Amino acid sequence: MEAEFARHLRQIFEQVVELPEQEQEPRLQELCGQDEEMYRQVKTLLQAYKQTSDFLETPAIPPQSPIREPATELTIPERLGAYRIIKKIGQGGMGVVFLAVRDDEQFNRRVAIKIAPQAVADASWRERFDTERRILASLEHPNIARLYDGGVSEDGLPYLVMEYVDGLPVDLWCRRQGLSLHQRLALFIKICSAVEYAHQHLVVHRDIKPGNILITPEGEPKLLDFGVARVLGAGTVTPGTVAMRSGLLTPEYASPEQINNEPVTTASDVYSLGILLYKLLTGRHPYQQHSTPDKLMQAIREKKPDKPSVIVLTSEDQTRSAGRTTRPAEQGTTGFSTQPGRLGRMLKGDLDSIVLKAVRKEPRQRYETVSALAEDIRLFLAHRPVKAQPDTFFYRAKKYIRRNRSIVAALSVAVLSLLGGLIVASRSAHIAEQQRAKTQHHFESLRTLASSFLFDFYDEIARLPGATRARELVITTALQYLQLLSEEASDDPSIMYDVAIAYERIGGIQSHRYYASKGNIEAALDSYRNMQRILRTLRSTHPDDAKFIYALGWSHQDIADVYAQQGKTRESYDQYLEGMKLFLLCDSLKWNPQKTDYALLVAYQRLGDTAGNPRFNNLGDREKSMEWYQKMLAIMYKRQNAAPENPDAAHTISIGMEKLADLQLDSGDTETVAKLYGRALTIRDSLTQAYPDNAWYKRDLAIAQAKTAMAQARLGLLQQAEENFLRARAIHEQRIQNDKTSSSAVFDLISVLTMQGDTHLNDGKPDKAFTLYAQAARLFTSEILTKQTTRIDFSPLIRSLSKAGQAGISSADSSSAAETISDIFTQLRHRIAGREMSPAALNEIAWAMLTCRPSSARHPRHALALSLQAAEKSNWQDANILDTVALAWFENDNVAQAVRVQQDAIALLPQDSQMKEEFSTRLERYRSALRR
Amino acid sequence: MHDQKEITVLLKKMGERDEQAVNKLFRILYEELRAIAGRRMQQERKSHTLQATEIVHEAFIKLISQDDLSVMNRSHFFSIAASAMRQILVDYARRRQAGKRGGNWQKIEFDAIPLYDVQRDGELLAIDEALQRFSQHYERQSKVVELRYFIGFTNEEIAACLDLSLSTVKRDFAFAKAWLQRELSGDEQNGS
Repeated sequence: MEAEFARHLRQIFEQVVELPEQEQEPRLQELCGQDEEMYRQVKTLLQAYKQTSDFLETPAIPPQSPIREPATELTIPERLGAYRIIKKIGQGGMGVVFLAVRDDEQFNRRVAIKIAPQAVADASWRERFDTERRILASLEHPNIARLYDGGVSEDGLPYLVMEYVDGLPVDLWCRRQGLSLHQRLALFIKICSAVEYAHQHLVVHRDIKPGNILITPEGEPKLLDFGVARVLGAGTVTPGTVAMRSGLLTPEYASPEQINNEPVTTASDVYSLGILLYKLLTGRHPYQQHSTPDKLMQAIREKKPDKPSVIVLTSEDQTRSAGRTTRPAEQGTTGFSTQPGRLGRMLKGDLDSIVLKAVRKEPRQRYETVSALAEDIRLFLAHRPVKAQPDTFFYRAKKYIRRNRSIVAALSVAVLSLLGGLIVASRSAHIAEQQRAKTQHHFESLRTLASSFLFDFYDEIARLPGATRARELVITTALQYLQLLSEEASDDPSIMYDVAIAYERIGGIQSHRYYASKGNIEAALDSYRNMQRILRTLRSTHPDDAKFIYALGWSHQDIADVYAQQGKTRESYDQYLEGMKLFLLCDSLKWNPQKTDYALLVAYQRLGDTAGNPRFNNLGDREKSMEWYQKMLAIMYKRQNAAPENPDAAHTISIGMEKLADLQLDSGDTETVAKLYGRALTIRDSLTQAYPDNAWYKRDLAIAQAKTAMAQARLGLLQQAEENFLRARAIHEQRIQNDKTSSSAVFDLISVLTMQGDTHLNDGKPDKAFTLYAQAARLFTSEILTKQTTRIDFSPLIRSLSKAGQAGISSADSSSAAETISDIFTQLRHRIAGREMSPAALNEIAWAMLTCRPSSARHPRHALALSLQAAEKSNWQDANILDTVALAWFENDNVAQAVRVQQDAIALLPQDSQMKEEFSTRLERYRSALRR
Repeated sequence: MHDQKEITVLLKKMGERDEQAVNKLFRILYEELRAIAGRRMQQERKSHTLQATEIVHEAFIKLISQDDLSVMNRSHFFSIAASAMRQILVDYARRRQAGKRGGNWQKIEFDAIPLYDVQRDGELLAIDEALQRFSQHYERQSKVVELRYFIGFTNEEIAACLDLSLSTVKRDFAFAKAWLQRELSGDEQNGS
């Protein structure tokens, strides 16, 4: 009862107290009705309230510092330095802003003066203030408001004198001007360029928000207050939340790290720009609904913002239903004249992704730089794939189609009319010449379109994992057309020829290594056989046409490639031979020597690879290999003589030399090997000098240097070897510097380090070797594992680690070597934690942790965890992984488990597996341990 | 020094309305705030006077693990901190008054701290007592007063801490002011 009364008392009081005085009494009577006690109570409270003016307003311990009451009572000074204050134009957490003029000059320059809310007396602070001020004053950019001057007022308040910008905040401007999406994006790119400029001068804005971006009447953006948050805030210790409470920061646009009081970097500006873009595109702040500061801060920390495209639809709905009464004049919250549905569609996809990438919670997940953000918007405006979008087939296809809209539209029309035309043509007894021409014309369109479709399109999707279904669709559709074409136009050799070539292209896609699967490879073989069948027919009807012979030769090559892929080495060799013979025939017919030479070169190379090059599946005939490679080189020289100025011809020759040397690497004839590598090196050296910008030549030069070094070391030319290794390393290091995103240079460097380590190990210098191996392993963990690649080949790491162990044992300080290796394992473990790893990779690492030497570097406990993960991921169906798990249990002293798992592993091995013996030996070892 | 983890656990228990946890937290905070106040005053006696808000924030940063900044825990923390600070100030005022009446002046640990004007001791104690009565029916409203008066939070900070809208805080504070004013001026009885 009492509580009920208390609640009513409060409610009535609250309803009445806010009314104008003359309305209070009638309302009070109305609300209290017959309840006289209530009436009396509220009445006395209202009377008491009138006397309260400053009661309780001052805390028990009154605040002394004006930090939370920013300069409210600041008296307006008449002058500051050389400036005459005209009026107050703004006030915020960072202080009060005045409009002022410098009137001791001929012209009256209008300036904005910002005065900090807090006095600072500290000399060291003053020094920093001056330094920062000088840095800010050096920012000269058309879109950044200049900082002219600064100082400390007589009251000890620091102030800054800035360019006065008469403009509207960017969000308001966009709305008032009803800017289109494109105009907004263009404006935003300009804003980005200003921020990027400042970043290049090591200045972070820290407080990007619409109020700090004014648009001049000419439509130019001007960014205000660059770095001012830091300069004026530098005197106060303001942990994030306190700064937020104090109004020093604008929570709406502050990044999670700013709120959490973590280091503020350029990434924070990227975030704020993202929120700004969100606002410009949708008219809303992503966390608008979070009204209290804490809810807002929590949302900034934790809540993933809705997609702009979604927000646009919902907010427009609300605005329209509410807007009728409150804001009939406005065009929604965005000011777009575009319909919300259409706007939503324009934002959906790319712009959603761009904005959401910019405002990711983790700074590292955002755009690395402001210019990367701007670049993505430019890509969007150019209808090119943006970086923020996850690569998916449909995404790329959409972009492709958008860019080539006319081609794709034409394609469907052309295919249909072509088919129609062909059918009519073949059924009609009298083929009008006109009709034929038309058919021909249609065919040309189809060919152009098909090549554009199959190739450009394929390039777009080739590197995407998981687009198989879509590719299948493209291919089946194309195959259906081809089927129809070859049936309907079987008497037209030129159409049939193109059908054959189309089959070849499809076979190429089907057998492409990016998505070759067993089924696809069989399908590829079918396509090539179709190609071959058509060409055979053509050749029999047109025996003199070398074009058909040449294409037939390629059909053999193609089929041979597939066989090689399938490991059918003998069949593949025979097919290469067939192809080669047909190319020789073309050669004797003197048909297009350029094409023929190229085809022969490829054929000889593949024959050489297959005959006896240990780096490929081969027939073990090294002599034969040499012969083929010699022929290949002869053609290479011929091509170079024909076109001496063509650098690629020279480069190809160097590849030939390298192949010959590779082939003889283990033959014992190290002199020849060194000579061949050396010649390749010389060619590439001069190529690199002639074309210093060609990254490809440079990389190959480094590879030749390393290989030469290896051969030189074997010949005992250690000094020269060392020099070449260092040269190769320098090139790869430079490459890593130039392109931080690419892992190939890192892999190359790792490979050189390992080779160099090998030479030192062979030379009886295990200490030096160890350093190099460890460096390679470290490079792998620190560089490769920081990349976002999903599939990583861990074998270079495992190799360098095992080599390091080998060297470490023989080195003078083997215990510190063990420590180093153990340390690398620890690092590796941290780097792979939380990362999507293939069971095979996990297994490899676990195995290395279990078996590495020195044994004191092993990590059996972590190895167990990793191997169990691997087993889990492979559903306990992989014998190799179970073998690792068993050893891990064993090393962790759970011998019973080891026996059990090892038995499972053996059971999973195929009948004739060569591993059976090794696995069984280990099982025996576990069993005997169990018995003891 | 109390373990941050322990504080986190206590705050969590507090969310589960664990009376013991609240008491324990209160004791920890009471000690911590006093220690901070004492230390700060010694360091900064010359240039600054003390601010309750700063003391509380320092305790917050010290006691709360940075990876446990859940809103729930934050508001629980500040809410308890306000009670603790209130108790500190009340104890302080009582001792000073006792001192004036000839009590043992020397034993007061932070005598030297000019926490606030001596003239306000009486007012502070009166407000504390009135607030106790007020809180019987108006728990939330009295919390608002506590945060505002005893640790000097702004309305915005109170809104954040108690997860209320700013307007609710303002209304609550207005009502509390009226009620306490009436209570202290003594011309009306308890309104319930």
